[in-house]
Amino acid sequence: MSYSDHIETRYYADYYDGETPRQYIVDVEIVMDEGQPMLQIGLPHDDEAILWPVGMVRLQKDIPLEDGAIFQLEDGSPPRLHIRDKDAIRMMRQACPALRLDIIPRKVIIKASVVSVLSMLLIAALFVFFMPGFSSLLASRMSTESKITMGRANLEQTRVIFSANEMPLPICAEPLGEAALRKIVGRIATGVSLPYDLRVAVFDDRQNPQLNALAMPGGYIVLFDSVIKQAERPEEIAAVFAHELGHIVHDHAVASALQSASATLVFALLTGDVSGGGLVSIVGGKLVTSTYSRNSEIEADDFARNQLRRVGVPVSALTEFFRRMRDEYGDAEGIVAHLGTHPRFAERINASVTDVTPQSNLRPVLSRAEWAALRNICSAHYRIDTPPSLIDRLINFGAN
Amino acid sequence: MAGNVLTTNVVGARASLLRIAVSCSILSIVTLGLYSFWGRTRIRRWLWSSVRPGGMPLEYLGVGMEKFTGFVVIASIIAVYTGFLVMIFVFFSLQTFGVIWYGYAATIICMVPLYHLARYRGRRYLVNHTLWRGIRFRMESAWWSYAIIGTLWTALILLTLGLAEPLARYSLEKFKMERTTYGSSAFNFEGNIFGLYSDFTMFYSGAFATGAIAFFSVYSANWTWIGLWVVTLPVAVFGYIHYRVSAFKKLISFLYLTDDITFDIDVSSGRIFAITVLGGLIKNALIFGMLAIFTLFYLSTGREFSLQAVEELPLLVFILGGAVLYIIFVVHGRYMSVVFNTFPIVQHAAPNLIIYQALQLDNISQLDEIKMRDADGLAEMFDFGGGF
Repeated sequence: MSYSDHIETRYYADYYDGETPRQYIVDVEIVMDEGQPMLQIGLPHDDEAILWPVGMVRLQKDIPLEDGAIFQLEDGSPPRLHIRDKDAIRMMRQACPALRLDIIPRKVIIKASVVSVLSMLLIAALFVFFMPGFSSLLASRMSTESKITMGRANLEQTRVIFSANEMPLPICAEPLGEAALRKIVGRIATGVSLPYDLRVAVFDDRQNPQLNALAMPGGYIVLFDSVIKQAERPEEIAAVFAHELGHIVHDHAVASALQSASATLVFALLTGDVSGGGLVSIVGGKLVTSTYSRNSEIEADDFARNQLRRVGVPVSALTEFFRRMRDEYGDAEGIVAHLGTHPRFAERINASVTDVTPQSNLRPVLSRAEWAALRNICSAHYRIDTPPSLIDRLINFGAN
Repeated sequence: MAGNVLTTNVVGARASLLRIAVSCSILSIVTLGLYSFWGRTRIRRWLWSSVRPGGMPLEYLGVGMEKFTGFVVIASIIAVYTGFLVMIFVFFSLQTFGVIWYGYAATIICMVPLYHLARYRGRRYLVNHTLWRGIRFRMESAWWSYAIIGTLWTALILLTLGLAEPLARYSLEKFKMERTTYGSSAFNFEGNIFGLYSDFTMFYSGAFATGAIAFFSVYSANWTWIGLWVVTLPVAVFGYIHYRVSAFKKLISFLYLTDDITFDIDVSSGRIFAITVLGGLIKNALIFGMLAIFTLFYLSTGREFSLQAVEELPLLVFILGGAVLYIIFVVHGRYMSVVFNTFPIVQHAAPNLIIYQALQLDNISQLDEIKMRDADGLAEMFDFGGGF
């Protein structure tokens, strides 16, 4: 027998028993116990060694390996075995078949997945169903005075926002043009009752054409002069006005303000973008509210068509206007179509075209002279220093 | 071998951590962020295990799935709570004042308790899932009290224009640590708070001066003094790091375990400052690197790179692209921050952690309910992150 046969290779390791923080120096070896291979952990002052079935031994992964390897049992119990000896580690790898399996039970995964899916459905339902409804509810609760205050503020803001320079946009005031506008408003608003007066202003946007009309809370409507210049006949202006009136009647502007304020902030919090003004939250917020806005546009179109019928203005005027807009300026594709609050012209044209019931009560909206005057409305402006309260009275087109 | 005074090793090469971080980052990007919950678990496991007081590694027991469910649940709560709350506040704000921002301000104020709650629960999850030498740490579930106390301190800090900060930090840390246990033994927390104030002066003077100049300039529309920011801003920034580092050192020294065991750590503010600046630069360089990779990928699909082309992208592609961009900046940024900021800080500071009277630790025992597999599954399912 050679000397080497008498040398028993013993592997030492650090062991923590999970009962106290004590660090035990133990010896480890693989033994057979009743025919099963076991990892035997021999404590220094204990006759009974600890046995770990090799199939239940796991190796900790995703940790630095410069200072040995750490083993534990597959049930996640606290005892730990810290082996630094490379040969010992090799022994473990050879003897233990399931070192790299995960410790998480399947049941937790299933329970967790159910919780997550339910929560995500809740958030989605919240945004798509409850928020629009809730915002409309709140909007209907808002006092008339508050809406008028909001509208007045919005009017002033709009004059500044769409101006090409530092001066707010002038409000057009040519008397004959104004009279023509009054005639259209009176005609279209026939039979429509509102809790507040309608206030209609034409902004002179020749420096920075907007080709748009805006409905604000509290009965304020803004028409940009470029729209009037773009129309070929007064029936089209009447149709545009009817659409804006639809927004007023359904109180979209207030609900929309609440919606977008809420969506922007929630999105900011969810994405951790609380620094505010974040691109992500603004875009995200717009994505959420734009669906709602698109529905309001469609609602406003429906109102417009019905109202135009009632007062004897051809519904086709609405369609013609959209068609021309599309032909001149192209239709929005892709993301712009979605983020922009107006649905694609194609959709709105289709909706109008299907409405083919003949109208028997048609009457012209304006005479030739009145139409010319309306197109000329921006040849005169209200003075730039006119106080908002006075403007309010000047653009008041009557209660209903 | 465990002696009576334990010094700490930090084990592991930054390159290994970087490898894990990059693979987690790429997986997170292609799964649109879903993987990040598992990725962060892996990173934490590595970080915890790298810190070895007395050569004995810390261990992180957290689970990716719990991080995921925690996020989803808290996201739902935030969405519901905030969505309706902000709408109501904005409603009243519009009704009474005619503007939106009072409503926003009121909502943000209501977020303060939620913020403290999240911080507490985040720390609690980390503590509850930390193991050392086979014994688990535990933290009480006192998040209600903490949310209230935290909010009161925030109010006081605002009222005193920031002077109450060190006091608040001391008090809140005391609250948290005295509800933390290692096995059967609870931590105690006691120390001289005025030391914190002396560390606070540099930061406060710099920040106060910066703020005062800003306020004065805006108020009087006289911008000539803004040049002084060249002096006050660096003082404020370095002062902030110095304050946080010094406070950290002191707060660690205020800890007691079983009345005898004490802790000490030495950290250099200058080193931390250098690591933060350099780490920030590297992290941003890597963010743009990742961005470049994905831009090349986008260009290789044949699309042109003009505003027009971007506007015409189908909605789905736009959303996906936006999500990818967001994840690159935030998630990838976070991973790179761990590798080039957090770990270097750990490598600098942790080796200086000393535990005195460590043999007393042997008298501690494991809490009974932990010996079996943790039955309290549901409560621990929600991990609100801890900034790691």
